[in-house]
Amino acid sequence: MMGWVTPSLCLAGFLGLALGGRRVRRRIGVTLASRAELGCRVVGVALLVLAAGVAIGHRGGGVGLVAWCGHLSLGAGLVYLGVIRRERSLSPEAAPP
Amino acid sequence: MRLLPSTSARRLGLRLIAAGPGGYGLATLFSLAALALPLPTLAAARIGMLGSFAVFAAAVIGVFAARDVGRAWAGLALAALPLALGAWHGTHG
Amino acid sequence: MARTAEPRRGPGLRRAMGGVHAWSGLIAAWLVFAIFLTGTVSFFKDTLSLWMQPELPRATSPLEAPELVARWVALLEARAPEAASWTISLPSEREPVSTALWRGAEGIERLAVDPEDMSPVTARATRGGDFFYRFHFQLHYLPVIAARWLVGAAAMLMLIALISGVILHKKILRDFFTFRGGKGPRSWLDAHNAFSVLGLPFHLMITYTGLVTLMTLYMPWGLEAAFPEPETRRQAVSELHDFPRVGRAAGVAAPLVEVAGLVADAERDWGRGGVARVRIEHAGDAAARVILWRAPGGRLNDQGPRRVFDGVTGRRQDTGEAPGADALTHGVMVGLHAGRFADWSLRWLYAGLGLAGCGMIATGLVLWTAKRRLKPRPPGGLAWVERLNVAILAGLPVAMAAYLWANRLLPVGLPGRADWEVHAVFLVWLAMLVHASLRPVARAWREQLWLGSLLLALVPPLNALTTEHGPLASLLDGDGQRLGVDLSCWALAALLAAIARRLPASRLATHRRARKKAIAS
Repeated sequence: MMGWVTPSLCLAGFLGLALGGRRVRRRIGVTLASRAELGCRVVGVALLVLAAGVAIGHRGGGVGLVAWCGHLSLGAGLVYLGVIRRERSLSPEAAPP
Repeated sequence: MRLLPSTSARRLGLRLIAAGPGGYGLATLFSLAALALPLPTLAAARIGMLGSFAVFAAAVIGVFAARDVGRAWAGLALAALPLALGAWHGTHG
Repeated sequence: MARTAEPRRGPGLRRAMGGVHAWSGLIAAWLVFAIFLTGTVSFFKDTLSLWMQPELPRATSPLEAPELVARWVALLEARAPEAASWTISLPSEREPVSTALWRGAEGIERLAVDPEDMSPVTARATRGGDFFYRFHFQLHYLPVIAARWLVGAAAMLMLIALISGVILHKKILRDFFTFRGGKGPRSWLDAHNAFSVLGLPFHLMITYTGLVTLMTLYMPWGLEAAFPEPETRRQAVSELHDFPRVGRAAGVAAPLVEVAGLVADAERDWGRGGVARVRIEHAGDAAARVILWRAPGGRLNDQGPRRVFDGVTGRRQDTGEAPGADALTHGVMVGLHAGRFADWSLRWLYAGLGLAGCGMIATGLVLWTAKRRLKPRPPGGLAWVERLNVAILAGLPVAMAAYLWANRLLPVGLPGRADWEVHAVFLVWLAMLVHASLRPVARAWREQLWLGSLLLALVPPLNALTTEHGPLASLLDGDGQRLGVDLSCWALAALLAAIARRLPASRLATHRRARKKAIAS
């Protein structure tokens, strides 16, 4: 069960960071007030830090950090794919062949 | 018939020599200089080996980042000087 | 003013790093792709070996470790009393049989037993997952040391390609989710950036630690200077790898200590299943020694901990002190590379990142050729780079799938069977090279990817037809290890098919599709 917490937190954290970026929002057609933008970023970073804490608490210092790094890659990758998919669904003709 | 390669090819060749054999030489000097560390011999040798690849990589990047071949070689020599002193100390001390 | 600064900045530095990135990447890419792909598979080396030996029992309730070791000692005292040392591996989830190794009159001898009742186990001759593991650092058919140097040079070029790539694209790190760099075919570049940046910590780590695992070969000068005598140097290398060498026998008989008791003590501290390996040196001699190695699960440091005992009195010989900072750094680097500490979820994360590395290299290579294809006068030799891309990027998976096919199809009694499984890999790979050089490039891509997909997809049915461990049987048995291999074959088949579907069949087909779309709308 604990195994799912770190990856989920990393995913949510990167989602926050992505929504906190103006250029990402333009690409996926989301509008946010500037205060919400800052909030997204702060929450995103906080979730990533929390994920590190959970991983280290769960697996110990060394392996926990390794697991956290791996899950960071995983979370960022999923968000990256999500942004591309969303962008293509908004403007299909812009999609490359 | 031209016997010597063009200047640009020669410059590239000199840079490649600085990066490859030069970089490996610098890494070797680093691994020898580590022996001068005030540590048990095996620990010092191990640190020298562990770090040498970073030195090699940094040397290669540095050689290609330098503005021209002369500076690339000068940079290598500048880095090699203290390492050579350390290496001499490490192997004779 | 800025012009006189020592290092290049701005466009000059970018151009230089672009050159370094493109060329170090290209030279190393084919070899590093093969190293990454076979290395990724090596994370599952024991599981693959198990799958490739369907004769091996599952041993769900093995003997307790002390009892098993006691029986091994009795067996080996009768079977190999003269051997300088016996190394006994205790069973684990991924290696359910227990094996012993010793040096006999005709080289290394190996015996595997069912840990439930110590009955000897014979399985088909195969290199199993070990073939991919060895290939990933010493290739095949080549002198071992020369091949390791080749692999080291490729790894060093890879490290340089990674660093120059980071300098080249500093912007990506800051602005990752929206990064769109450079010219050239966009989707390839997107994929290359994604694979590279997402896996960057892993790629840097695995490349550097890979060099570290063979550092005494690549950078021996410090050791040679510090330990000029060959004998003391060998001793130093053994300490460096924390792998004690077998000492000399005293030539005086003395009874062996009760090893089972030592194992039981260790299990009390390390937990059940905590002892992975036992080495007994000079059993029955006054200079006997017993070494216990702890199972690597959950600990990053791959070197140790272990316990060394006097083999007669059973007195502890090692100090049990924690390793120094240098040994710890070294052990953690090796541990990070091999990933033996990883439980199943981390192991899959490792595998995913390894595949991302393969993706990074593959897309980088395709990008290299695609960019040059766009030039008004493409450089000569480009066609050969494209064909080699096909033969290596698409051909290697086909050849690796052929290994599993050969494992199931070659007769069990065939002389030199294990070698022929490996020859099959390289014969198929050679066939892929010939195919790639004869067919139009775009078709060769698709045909080889589809072939790889087909071969992998048919591995589980082939397995079900030729053994009693088909996917359904494994599922009913609860044999997650063997089932995992079958399911992974299907997943990889789907991956190759997905890539094949995304590639245009040919330039003509791209036009045709575009025209069809125009008519339809």
